[in-house]
Amino acid sequence: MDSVLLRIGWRNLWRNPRRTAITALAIAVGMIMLAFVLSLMAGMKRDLINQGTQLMLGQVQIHKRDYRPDRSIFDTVPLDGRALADQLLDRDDIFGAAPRVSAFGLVSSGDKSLGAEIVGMDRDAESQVTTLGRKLEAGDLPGRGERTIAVGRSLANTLGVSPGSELILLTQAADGSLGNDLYTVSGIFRTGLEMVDGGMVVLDLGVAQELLALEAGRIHEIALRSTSPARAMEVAAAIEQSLGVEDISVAPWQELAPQLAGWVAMSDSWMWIMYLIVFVLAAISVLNTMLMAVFERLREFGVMAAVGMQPRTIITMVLAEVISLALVSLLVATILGAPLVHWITNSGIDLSATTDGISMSGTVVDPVIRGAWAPAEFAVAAGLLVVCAALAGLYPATRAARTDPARLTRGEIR
Amino acid sequence: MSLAMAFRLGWRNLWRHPRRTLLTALAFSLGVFLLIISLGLGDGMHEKMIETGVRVGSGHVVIEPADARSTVDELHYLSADTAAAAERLLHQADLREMVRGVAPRLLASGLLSSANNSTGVQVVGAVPDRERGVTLLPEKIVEGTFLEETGRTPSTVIGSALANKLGVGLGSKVVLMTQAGSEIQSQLLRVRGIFSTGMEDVDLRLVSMRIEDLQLAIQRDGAVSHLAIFLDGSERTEEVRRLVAQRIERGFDGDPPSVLSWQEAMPELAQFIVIDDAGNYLFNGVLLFMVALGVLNTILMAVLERRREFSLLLAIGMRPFEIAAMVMAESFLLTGVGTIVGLVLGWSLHAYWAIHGLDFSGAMDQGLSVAGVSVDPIVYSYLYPGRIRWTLIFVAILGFAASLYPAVRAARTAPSEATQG
Amino acid sequence: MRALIGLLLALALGAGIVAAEPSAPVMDDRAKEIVDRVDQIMRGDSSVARLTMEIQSKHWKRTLEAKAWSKGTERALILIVKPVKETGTATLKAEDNIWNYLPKVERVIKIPSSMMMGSWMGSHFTNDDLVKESRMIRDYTITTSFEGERDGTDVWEFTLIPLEDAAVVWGKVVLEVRQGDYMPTWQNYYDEDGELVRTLRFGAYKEMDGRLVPTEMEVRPVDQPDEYTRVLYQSLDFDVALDDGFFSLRNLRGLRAD
Repeated sequence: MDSVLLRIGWRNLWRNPRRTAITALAIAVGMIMLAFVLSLMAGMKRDLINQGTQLMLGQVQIHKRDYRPDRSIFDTVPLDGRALADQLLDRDDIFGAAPRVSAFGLVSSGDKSLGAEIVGMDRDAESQVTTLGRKLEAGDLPGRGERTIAVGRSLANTLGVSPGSELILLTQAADGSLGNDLYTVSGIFRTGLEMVDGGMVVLDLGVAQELLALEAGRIHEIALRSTSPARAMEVAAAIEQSLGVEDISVAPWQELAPQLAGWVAMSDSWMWIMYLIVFVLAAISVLNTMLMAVFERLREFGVMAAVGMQPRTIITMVLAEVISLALVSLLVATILGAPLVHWITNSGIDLSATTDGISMSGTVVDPVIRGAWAPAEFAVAAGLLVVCAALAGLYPATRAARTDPARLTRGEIR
Repeated sequence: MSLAMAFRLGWRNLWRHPRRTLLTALAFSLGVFLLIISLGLGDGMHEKMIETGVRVGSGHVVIEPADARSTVDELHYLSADTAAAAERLLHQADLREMVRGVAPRLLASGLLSSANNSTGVQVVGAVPDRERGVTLLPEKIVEGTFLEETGRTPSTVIGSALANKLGVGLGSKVVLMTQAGSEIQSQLLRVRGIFSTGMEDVDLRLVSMRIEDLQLAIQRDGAVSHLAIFLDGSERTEEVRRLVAQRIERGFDGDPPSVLSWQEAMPELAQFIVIDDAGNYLFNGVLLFMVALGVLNTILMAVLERRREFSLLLAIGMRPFEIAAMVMAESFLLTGVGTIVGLVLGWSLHAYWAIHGLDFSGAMDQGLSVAGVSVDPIVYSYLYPGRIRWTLIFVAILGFAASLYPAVRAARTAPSEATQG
Repeated sequence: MRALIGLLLALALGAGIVAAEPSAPVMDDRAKEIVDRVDQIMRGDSSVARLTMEIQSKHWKRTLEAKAWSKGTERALILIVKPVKETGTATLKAEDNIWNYLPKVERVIKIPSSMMMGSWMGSHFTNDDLVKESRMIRDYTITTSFEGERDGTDVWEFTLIPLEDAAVVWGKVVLEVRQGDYMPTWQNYYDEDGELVRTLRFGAYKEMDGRLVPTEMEVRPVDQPDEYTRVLYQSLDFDVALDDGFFSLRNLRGLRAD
């Protein structure tokens, strides 16, 4: 495009600053709202997946192929599990790899006994993958090599134990013997999930392996955290392929928690419907404002045509104006919208105050609605809005350029 | 200038720019339309989740021992006397009118064995007549009946997944081992019914039997773990909970049982609904904000275009507030038409979906559940009472707010502008 | 011998059948009498046994040596002697309850109902098998389902059908007894559909403390044909003086095999 035309277009914009301001504002508000909605969508989806995966599940899990759903203690990963976990950390797409063992056993204190799932985990590795370590009400998870145990809140209540108390675990070990030992309670966790708080105890990985008579390399599960939950599927597939062991299954969270995946899909489709409608509204607003702005100037175009300006030139000029306008709008949208998106992504909206009577503390669901940056989606949305604006501006301009200037100057076309 | 006049003028002004007016009205009605259907679908889904949750769980309101919730063992019971006294309270006229059913239950955990396998289960001792019509299990029986037969051997109903795991069918015997105090008790049961709720945990872990059989098995004569109170819909939960709690506090000396709403009994579900609702409100807020901005834009443009006209009117003696009234009338008509169209369309679609439902199953591969409660992929639209009223009030405020600035702007037009170009 | 039958096997042999209630439906009186007699051979007021248990499962093969005491149908105690890792581990059965003493942590743990179907010491016996026996006294109707020669030996075959309200998971139990010396040869457990679930074989009949007894038994789960648990008796003494206090939680600690 001719730089002269662009300059004319730019200057035209400022001939009627109020009109330009209103139009630019309409486009900018549309962009800001779209950015806000896109940020909310990305944030809510992220939080939904995170809340479902980060407590214990992780984004990807590695097992022996037959391990799920029966979880037999004999079905260990057919490789040195600890070495495998370390080796996976070298991959660029893996942030954390937590090896675990798990078995069902009896937890006993005094004359009270309860069945529970015994999970052995490495505290440091686990903290890179899951958030269980941050759900401690008192004390901490057992550290490496410590003969201590962390239990859930309701289990602790039932057994009447607190940090410092002693607990006995009793379970069927892998060599057929009766695995049993005494542990000091190191901490009490509260996740809000009754299944975990009332039915799980945590040991250090090595200590649990000793109890279960499993050698150091034998583990049941490696939970992984990759760069993003959205990439879980491809990461799982890549790892499975690179391992190349027939008997090892690498499953993304969608496979491990199909209910969660279904819920994400449903809420996703609902949010896209909402988004589409917000977009249509933004487009209508831009269309409306743009049409008004250009139709006001039909007479002006008529005059231009009458003095011999080519229709193409007129159209190009309008286009130059639209592009200038879009740039101004984008600038305004960035200046006004960035703080809004920044606020929703960082602070979010805290709902804990508005939920009368429902205790939100110590629970799975984070009572804060937060957004997330979604630059790519936003660029597409902003681009589409600019196209809308351009079409809305070009339509009257094209008509004006092709019509008898005399009629235009008389104002016969609206 | 009369109000009727203001409206007539406003109406005529709107049609000076039919395309602009129509687009704005369209945007507004689209906003209202979407607000109504999204509220309808959201409420419908939540109400269904609440209903499923309370019907498989402990009712809209539950009366239980004060210390029942802090531990995982079930050694907390309401004595037969307490349960009877609590039931008497519920028979008082004002409560009876709101309460659809009351089901006393006894809970126990145990081990259920067949010749082939054994597994841990949650046992619910129930009074079949009290469950029927209000709770989920009697409706989800796919084989046999819900504890109707009484024979020498106590009957039980179990989930389809549990039946598979144990390798048993209708008429099979199973042995339930429960802890009765410090003793382990074994009880032979006959499978007389199999249910399938589609909820994995329920179908695999839940077992129901007659309350008197379970009382006998765990040697707790007359004991009840809780009284589940069922209402018609969830709206009056808090009202009923408060009434019951007040009366129980007055009626019991010493340690009164506690009265919980479903929100307290199922905090995960309650939180989910709060968050989901908040998300929907945000989207709707954005939507309506944009719609209102569209109205503001349209009216403001119109006002700015007509400065000459306004100053002329001022010059011939019209007062500024009359001009403002005219502009407000214009905006009111615009939003009014948009609202009515949106309302009619939204309500129609809501009414259609209320009967036929909207099928989301295409969006997912399998069943859903949230906080252990299954979600039907077919959502039936439902609006809590007052939703329409609040929508109208909200939209009216929005329309008013959007027209305020243009009206003030118009009223402030200087008469001298008439002579300037 | 009671130590074994009572403790390890829930066999329903003898003890179970002897005390069948008079109210029981049509009972084959002679069958009852014979099974009663089989039981008489196997039982004394009390017994002390030394035994070895060989366990072969998909995942391990192990051998336990143990000493077992019993009194009546209600009380029994088993002390593990070998392997060294588990020496001193003891199981006490009193009525319907089971306690384990764990020398490693010096604690006694009561087995809750949720663990009753768990394996006892990694064998093919469940904790429940240890306690079920006393209840089976009242639990079966006995009929003779075969009488005559099998493999050159005259035998009776008895079919035991659980009473309608007995807390028994089996559909039926079938037992074969040699006519000549009242020795049991095998016992099969079926589910309600008539599918064989578990088999028990007796053998190595020897005289111990003046009684002819089977000194070898082997249990096999039908769905895992390569797995078994085999119990071998080295010695058995009957009618040993043991007071009730012997079968107490206090006595569980520090119990010695000698």
